[in-house]
Amino acid sequence: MIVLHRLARLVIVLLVVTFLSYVMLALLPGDPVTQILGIGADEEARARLRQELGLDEPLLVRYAGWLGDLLTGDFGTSPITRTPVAGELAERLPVTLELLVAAQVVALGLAVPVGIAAARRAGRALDQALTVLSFALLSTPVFVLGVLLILLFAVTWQVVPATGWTPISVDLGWNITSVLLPAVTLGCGQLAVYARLLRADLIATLQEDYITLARARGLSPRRILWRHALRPSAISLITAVGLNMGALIGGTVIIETLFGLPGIGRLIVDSIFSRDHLTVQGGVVLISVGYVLVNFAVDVVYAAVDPRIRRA
Amino acid sequence: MRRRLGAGFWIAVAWIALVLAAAVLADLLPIARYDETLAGPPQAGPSAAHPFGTDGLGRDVLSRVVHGARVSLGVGIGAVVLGLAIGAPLGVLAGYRRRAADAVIMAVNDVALAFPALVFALAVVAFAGASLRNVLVVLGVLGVPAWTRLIRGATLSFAEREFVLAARVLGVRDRRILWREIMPNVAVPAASYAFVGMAVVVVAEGSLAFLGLSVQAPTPTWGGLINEGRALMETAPHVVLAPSVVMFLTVLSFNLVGDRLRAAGDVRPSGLEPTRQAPAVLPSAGPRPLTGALLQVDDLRTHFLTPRGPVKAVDGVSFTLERGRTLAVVGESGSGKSMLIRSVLGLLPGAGVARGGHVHLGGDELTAFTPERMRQVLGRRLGAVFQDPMTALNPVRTIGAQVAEPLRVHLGMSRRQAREEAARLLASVGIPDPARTLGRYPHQLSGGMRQRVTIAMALSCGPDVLFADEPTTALDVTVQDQVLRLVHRLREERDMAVVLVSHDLSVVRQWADEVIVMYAGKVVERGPAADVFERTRMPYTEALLQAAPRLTDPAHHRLRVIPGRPPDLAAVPDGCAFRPRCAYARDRCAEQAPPLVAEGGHLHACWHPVGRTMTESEGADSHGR
Amino acid sequence: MKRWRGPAALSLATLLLVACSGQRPVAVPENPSSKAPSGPQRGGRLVYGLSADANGLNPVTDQFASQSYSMVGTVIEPLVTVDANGDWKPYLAESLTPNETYDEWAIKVRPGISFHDGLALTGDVVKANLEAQKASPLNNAVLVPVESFELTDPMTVTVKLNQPWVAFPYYLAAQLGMIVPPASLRDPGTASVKPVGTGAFVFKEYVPDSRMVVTRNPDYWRDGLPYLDEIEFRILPDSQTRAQTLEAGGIDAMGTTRDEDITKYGGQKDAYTVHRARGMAVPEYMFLLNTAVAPLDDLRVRRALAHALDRATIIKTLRGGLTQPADGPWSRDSPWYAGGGAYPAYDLAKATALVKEVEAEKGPIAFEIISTPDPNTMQGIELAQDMWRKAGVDVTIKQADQADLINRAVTGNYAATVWVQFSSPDPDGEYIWMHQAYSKPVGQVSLNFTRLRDDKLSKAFDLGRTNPDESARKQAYATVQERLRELVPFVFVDHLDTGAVVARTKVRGIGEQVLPDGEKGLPLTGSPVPYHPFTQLWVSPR
Repeated sequence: MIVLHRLARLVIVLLVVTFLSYVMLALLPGDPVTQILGIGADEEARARLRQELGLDEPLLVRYAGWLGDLLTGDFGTSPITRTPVAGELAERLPVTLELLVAAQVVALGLAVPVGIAAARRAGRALDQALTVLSFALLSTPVFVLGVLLILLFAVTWQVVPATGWTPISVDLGWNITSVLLPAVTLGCGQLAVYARLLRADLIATLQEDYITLARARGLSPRRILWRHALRPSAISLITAVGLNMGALIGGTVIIETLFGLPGIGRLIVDSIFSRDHLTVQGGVVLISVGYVLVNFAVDVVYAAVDPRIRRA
Repeated sequence: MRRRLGAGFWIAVAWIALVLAAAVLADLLPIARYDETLAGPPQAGPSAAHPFGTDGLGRDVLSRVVHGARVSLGVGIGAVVLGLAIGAPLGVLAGYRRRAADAVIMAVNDVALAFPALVFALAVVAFAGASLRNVLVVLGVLGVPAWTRLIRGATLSFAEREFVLAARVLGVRDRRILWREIMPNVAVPAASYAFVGMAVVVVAEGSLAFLGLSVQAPTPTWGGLINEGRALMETAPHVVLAPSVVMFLTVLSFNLVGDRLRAAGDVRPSGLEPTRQAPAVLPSAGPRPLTGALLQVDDLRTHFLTPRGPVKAVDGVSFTLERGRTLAVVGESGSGKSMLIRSVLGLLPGAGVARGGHVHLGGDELTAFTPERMRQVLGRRLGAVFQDPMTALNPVRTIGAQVAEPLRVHLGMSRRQAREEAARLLASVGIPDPARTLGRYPHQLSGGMRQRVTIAMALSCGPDVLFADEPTTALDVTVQDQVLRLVHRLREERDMAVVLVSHDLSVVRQWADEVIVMYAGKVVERGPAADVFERTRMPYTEALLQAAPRLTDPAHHRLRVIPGRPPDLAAVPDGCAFRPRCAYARDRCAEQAPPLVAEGGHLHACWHPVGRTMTESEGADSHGR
Repeated sequence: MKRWRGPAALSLATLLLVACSGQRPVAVPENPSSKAPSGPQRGGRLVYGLSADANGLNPVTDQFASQSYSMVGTVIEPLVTVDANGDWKPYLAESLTPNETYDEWAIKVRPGISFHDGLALTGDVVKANLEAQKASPLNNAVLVPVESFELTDPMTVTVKLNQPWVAFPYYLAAQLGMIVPPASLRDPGTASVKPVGTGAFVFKEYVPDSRMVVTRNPDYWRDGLPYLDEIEFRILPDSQTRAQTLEAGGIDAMGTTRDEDITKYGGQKDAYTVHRARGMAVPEYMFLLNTAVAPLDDLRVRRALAHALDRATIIKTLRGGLTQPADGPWSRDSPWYAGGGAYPAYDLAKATALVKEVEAEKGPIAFEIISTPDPNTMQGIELAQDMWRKAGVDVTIKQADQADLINRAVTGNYAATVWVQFSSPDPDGEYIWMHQAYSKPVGQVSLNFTRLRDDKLSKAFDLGRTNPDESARKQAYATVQERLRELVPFVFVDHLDTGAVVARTKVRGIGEQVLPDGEKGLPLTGSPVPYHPFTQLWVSPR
């Protein structure tokens, strides 16, 4: 029942999102023909290619055609790279997914202790220092942070490679070292957001009676923070993590550009710039599905964290 | 309790004002044009002519940062306001109403979130052009789904809260509930996210600039300046540093201001953290010789140090308690009853508190214990039950986990042992089907059941003293009686002592052996229950007794209250604290605080105690009843 | 006290940044003895950083950029190449012979060459390739003069033209002349991701947007070559992190367009070598003006723009003083440069006067200049914008992405844009970009983007194309330069030779290749980043 409901929602989201993006892309000035032929082709060649690609058909017909193909599992073949879109996406998805998961692990792994430490000492020196640090991280754009991190860890200390990507299938160790810097760069901005959210919620939770009573039962601060206070304070944090996972699926473009990772973000952005509609649409489908799945996971986690929500 | 805003706050306000003023007055300031190339040598470091140096084209970086403030602040503030203005009402509506409203809003939200932001940004810029307004709209609109979800999440957790449910059941209008109950609670995470969100937006504008989707060059923006200056990071770091630092300080200042405003009286220290400096010790009378009583409290003092002076929440309280006895602490709200309990238990915040006096439990001086040693006493030898069973249990943990926890921590029981013992405990407090209850969550139990659970938890390790802080106030009358009966029965069974805090004198009269009456942090009357009730000496006690509703009152009898209000504990008047509200007050009451004097086992602190026989010297004129 | 954490954190950040700006520990300088000429060494692996991925690896169907030539050039070879003097030389071809009238070229294929799939390179394969190229929409404008290809003997293809074309072989040095086996022609989709050719390296792996790996071809037709065992092309779009990767040792060489890199690595001769293009191979940086729309249809406005532009200052500010100012499409050190005509020199007074004159007639001069949003490009435009502002011309900047910008340039939907072009080895290579036959009205596709229709200039181009006499050709192209200086369809800025290849010193042989027939080859060519062959690169052992 729940699954059916989710599926229905997924279908609606997919339909609306792909249609809107199809329309928006089609209305953007420029077309893939220029990208394929370059500046040296004459009008006749352009017209021929445009017809070949079906670009002269009405928008709705093109969308319907694309949708029909999609229903049979065919994402189409990119006119620009001449490779099947599905294959391209499948090749790049693991890169972005690994980057995202690693970034979230880094961000959460640091944000939870930082948030707890700050809330525990709310208003005191450590809290203030962490606040300043958080905002320093927040106001450092990734393209500056990434460069700084590379400078320190790759150029000066040479502990990790500066850029480049080694897939897991090739070598696990190298894979981890190659994802380390990008994940930290991406995670740092999130870390600040997460730590702030968790701190705020924790401070509220620590005022609750059940926390005082837990103290009255002689439980240690560590136990109270981790076992009693963390879970009820995690709702905003989980929301933010979910949102980020969803939003970042296509939004990792800057990181991927900086570190030379062959990920989904770069694919979609490059495809938008080259007006490769089919690839963009494939990416949009992927993002939508990913988003709905993440959303579903978030709701599951919500319920796991806060039993009161299970009734809903 | 107002907090001083502090120097940091004012520095932050000054900085924001400075940046805002600079942004607004940028054109009037005596600085170079932001697009004047070669105003100085390119990539020159800071100098008198160019305080922030020049960029790669020899433009004045200060001027560019100042003009950049316009776009960045406009976008930062505007986008957050826009996101909040649309997202917050939608989120609250979705989280509160559920069902159709939720489904529709979240479906739209899903579409908005799943939509690739870049396609949207490109489309807007391609059709509407790149301008401050459009960038603001792009970033604002892109933020809406996040705001909606965030607010919805927060609303969800509050909409299920008891106070909201209760209000709903009581038929309070939705709008009122939303405004009164939900909005203030949701505002906390929302506000803390707003400042973070602003930083994110200002940086996101830089990302748009990175992709060429922000305002048209050469209009500067902070993010754009950083992106531009990045290439010069090695040769002319000031180009990237100046906008970064200004942006960082601004974002930080906004956060600081927001934090302080919101936190005025809100962010209290958690009390979990042992203070590094020893808490201030108040002078108090040395420990009296131990009487051999189970619990002996001597001259206990707890003062909160506030900018307005010390708040004397507990001010020199002494009492003793024997096994198998119940001591009741009565008084109005704010008289220091609960603080007395927390002081005895040592559950005070670490910072900003001065304490004094001594607490002995069976010969051990608890007041000299380290927090670690104290934890061995809490739960094991001292148990506590608080007023509101709705908030006394952790909503996200099962009853079983919570009841079993002290057993495992203190008694080192295995998981299974602890579970069995927990079930036994639940049975002993009269919970039907204890095995099933172990697996349930607090929200699945009624109020009375929950209070039984908290009692079971307090008793799990067989404490010597049970502190019950208004255990029945939040319960309805029939349940009240059951719970108190239970406490009494358990006291008998386990030969414990009970400290019962209540403002309900009928409860006290029925269950207490001894009574302490507190006013303004001090004991004003103390003695065996029968004495205190039958031969009341303190005018305050008398007033309390009169204010207590009686079963004999007619159905629509107006509640009697004590005229006036309890004193401000930070500025207790000289003399008798009750004087301003006392019908019997005389000059002396204003001049000298009355000491606690004993008449046998019955003590009182009054210059003009009531209930003396009319033949005594003060005569009828003192008590014009 | 605690409130001052902020400044403390700041000064830390400052320290970090300052630290970056200081001297960096460079790679251990090589032992001078290793510099002793010990001859090329066989073996080794090269990792080569590129700024962008290729748009497909098939020379027949995919438009090649300079990175495509770097990558695909290791696998697929052209019929013709260019020598150090800028003259064309046969490569896969043994010879190219024109007839008397230069409207027929006989391409004789070099014998004894085979593709990586084992198939021998013969005349019919070359013919099939050229026919596929002619049919490809990429080239149909360029190959307009080609009538047909005929196989005159098993190893000779004769190209029939409908007019004399003396510079025709030059075109075969680019993607047009790159020869793939018939299998690739039959399946262009696969050829786009798995190139097969006759080259010194065999395709091994390609991960789009990440890397391409090629390995040594043991059966290469040139004896003893190549030296390297393997090359990995790493695609690193961000110029800053690419340079950092070079310093960290993640790559051995890279292409760059930043003058900072040239200055920085050029100053560390022990650790790095810097290679820049020269002569005709250097592209020009210019502003492209649409002469078909107001206000730039007025010659006085175009001249005013040129007068107002202080090229020396731009070079000093944006190029670190590394480049030479340009007054035409060919650089001074090339044989085709001619000084005739008066290019409007920097003269703000003249510019202002011209602007005033036009304003008096037509009102204020204002136009929009479109640009891709990358910060480097923007800087140039912002500088020019301010210079033009001082002359009284109101220029607004509009950012557009690459697809939009090219579309506008092609269809004439623009006033001005920034442009980098003209790196062909022979002036005839610029024929279609300037000849009036390729200028179409606004709204139609026009390869002459400025839409300048000048009879003299076009006639000169025609002469240069058809007249085999060297001095007559020079004369013709001198006329072209003169007309360009008079009519200012392009406001030239400089000869953009800041495109460079930076390599660690252990990488040897960049730009030192020798052609099959013994001549020295052209060192580097192409824009914005130059490329070079990899066949004779080697890595000196540590």
